[in-house]
Amino acid sequence: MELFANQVLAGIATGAIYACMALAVVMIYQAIDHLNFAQGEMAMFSTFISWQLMQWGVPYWGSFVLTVAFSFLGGIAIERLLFKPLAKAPILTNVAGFIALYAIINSFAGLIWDFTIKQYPTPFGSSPFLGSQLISTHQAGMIGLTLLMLTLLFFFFRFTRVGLAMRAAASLPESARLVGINTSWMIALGWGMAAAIGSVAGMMIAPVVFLEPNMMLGVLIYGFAAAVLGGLTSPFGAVVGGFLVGIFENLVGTYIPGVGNELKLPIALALIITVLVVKPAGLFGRPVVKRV
Amino acid sequence: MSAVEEIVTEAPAVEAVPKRAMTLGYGTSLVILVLLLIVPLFVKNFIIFQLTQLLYLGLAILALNILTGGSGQFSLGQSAFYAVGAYTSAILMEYAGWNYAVTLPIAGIICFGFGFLFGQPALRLSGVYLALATFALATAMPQLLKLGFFEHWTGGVQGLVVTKPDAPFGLPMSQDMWLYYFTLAITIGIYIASVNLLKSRSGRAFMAIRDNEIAASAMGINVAMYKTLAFGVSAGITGVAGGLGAIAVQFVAPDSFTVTLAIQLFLGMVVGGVGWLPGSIIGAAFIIFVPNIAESVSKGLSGAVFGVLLFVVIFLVPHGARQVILAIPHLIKHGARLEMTDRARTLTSAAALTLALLGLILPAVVIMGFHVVWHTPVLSVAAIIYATRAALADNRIVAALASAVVLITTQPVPASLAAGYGVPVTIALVGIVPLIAIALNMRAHFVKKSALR
Repeated sequence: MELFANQVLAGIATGAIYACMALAVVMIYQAIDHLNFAQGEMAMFSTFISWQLMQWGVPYWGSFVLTVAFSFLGGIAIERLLFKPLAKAPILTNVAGFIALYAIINSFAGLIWDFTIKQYPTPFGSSPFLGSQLISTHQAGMIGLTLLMLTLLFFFFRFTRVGLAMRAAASLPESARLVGINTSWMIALGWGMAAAIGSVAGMMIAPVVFLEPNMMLGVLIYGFAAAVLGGLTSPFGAVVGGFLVGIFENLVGTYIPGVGNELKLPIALALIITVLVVKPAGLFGRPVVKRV
Repeated sequence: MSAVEEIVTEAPAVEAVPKRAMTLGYGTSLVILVLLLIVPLFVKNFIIFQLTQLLYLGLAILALNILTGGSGQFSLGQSAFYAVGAYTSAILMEYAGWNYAVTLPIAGIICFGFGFLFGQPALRLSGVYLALATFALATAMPQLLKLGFFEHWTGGVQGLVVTKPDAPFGLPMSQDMWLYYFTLAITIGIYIASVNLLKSRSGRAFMAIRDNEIAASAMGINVAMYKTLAFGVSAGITGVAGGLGAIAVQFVAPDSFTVTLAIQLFLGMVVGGVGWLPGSIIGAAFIIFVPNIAESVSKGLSGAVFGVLLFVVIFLVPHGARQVILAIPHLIKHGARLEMTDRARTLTSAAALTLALLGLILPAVVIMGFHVVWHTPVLSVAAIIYATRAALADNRIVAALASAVVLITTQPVPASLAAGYGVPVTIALVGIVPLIAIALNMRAHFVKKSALR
């Protein structure tokens, strides 16, 4: 029983990573009604920038703030330059654009910072948390930060005018435009926010998975699995889904023989498929109603 | 986020391609067929091998084209089906000792089943989500193949070595040449079958679903059935392509079927023109030859070059190679006079000027400890833009001058490439000028037409 409890705790710790990423995935879905493939790569690039700033002697929290601001502006710039002209294009064109962005960012990060694995510092320290060997202060801090972001986002979308305008622009663009919302800028804002959240996720994840240009590939897919599990329409579901995926992964690894580290991605795939077959709307998502 | 979606007024995921525009006329098809038949007789074995590669990758892109251009579903997981096909062929040949030709239909059938099954959960997703789910499939596949459980059959990380077949009946042909004709025969067979499929009742059902799912189901089309069927057919053809690939390369290993392959196939489809079946071959040529050129510009930069080219295609020629090829007759008839909008003129001027300046400044700049040395390509791109603009405006002197700059600055590129590529690459680089001209012209043509409407 103690083994079980420990594994669940360890699962919550890894789950925090997925929850972070899933939150970013659902966020951008809420804001722009699209899913950005390059999300993980944008987060990776932001993390590299914060690393570079620290190499230049900027203290951790200084570079943290600078990176979040940079990512926010970068997200807006990418949307204005590359994706605004594609707003009316078929989804296929957008997907091609996301893939192009993915390839460009990945390749440039490799070119500038090369593919060797780098250590990334943590602001929370890595001593055991509350005497437990399985969960470190960094992981506890990461969980705390994820929950904090979730709360802030909830308040932003629920209680501010801009949040309301963003929700309106995402769900019914035409009607939103008719009541005077600048939907085009709301989308840009959504990109900026998603990039900023992604950069926080990247900086939290980097101490655990180490910093390198391909660090986000697995995390993005796990984040997607978590978002599917929790329901793509629910930020709260995404966070819960992230923790559940982490716990599930750890328990499967412990109790089913023959499942090692190399099976991580197939587990995520199996999870996505099972959820889609059994409960397509996810645990907390509302089923999408189609109006004819 | 409201949970209600406007479905009828929503634009379709893939732009509608009329059925007639999906293929080539008989005359053109015959000319291409004759070319494909006689070219191998005059070239070296390595080139024949590359032509074979062109055919089976073209086949894989064709399969994706049926899925996306035909039924409007995305897939970034084609590499998984490709891998299953390749492994099926390899295992049957090496362990069961079957004839290579017999393994291909088996690979096709197994992949059809696999694709059909994967199509079931895929029904729940559309658009970008489907793309991401298939992306997960593609990333998971190499790990599944490395699994200890299958290692006895798949050879694990080491992979399997396949023996190359000899020409049968004592035909006086090299192995490469025989394999080329064998692949060509299968490709032609599948191409004709695909054209017929898209013309048939099922093909019309695919296209109806692509254009408007609800209208299609209202007309009595079994949407779920046809969507999974499209997945199955696409996976089956990809499986055959994978089998052919395994025989041609003589080797299968998990790491040759990563998500990069899936992205390349997707890229090939976009470049060739979504929904235009002959474009698959052009797309395949793009994904085989462009990485070589990209690597020559800068090592490790091929991802970025791919990405930038993809953006260029999306913005300038959203219909891919189809648009360029359809523009040629128009160009011959009406000349290359471009009526550029003021904005386009300012943009291209600004871009060309910035690039030219960068080309002069960059050699002196050092970013984060390494010299930026690719100033020549930057200069040539600027020159290409200028040459194109001048050619379009019938300003022959400037066009000639700029073309000369293009020629001079692109010289180091063919020289630094592997032997045997120099001449075609120079021609290709110089050929970029008229190609861009055609693209811009066609774009302007479209813009003008839609403005009239």
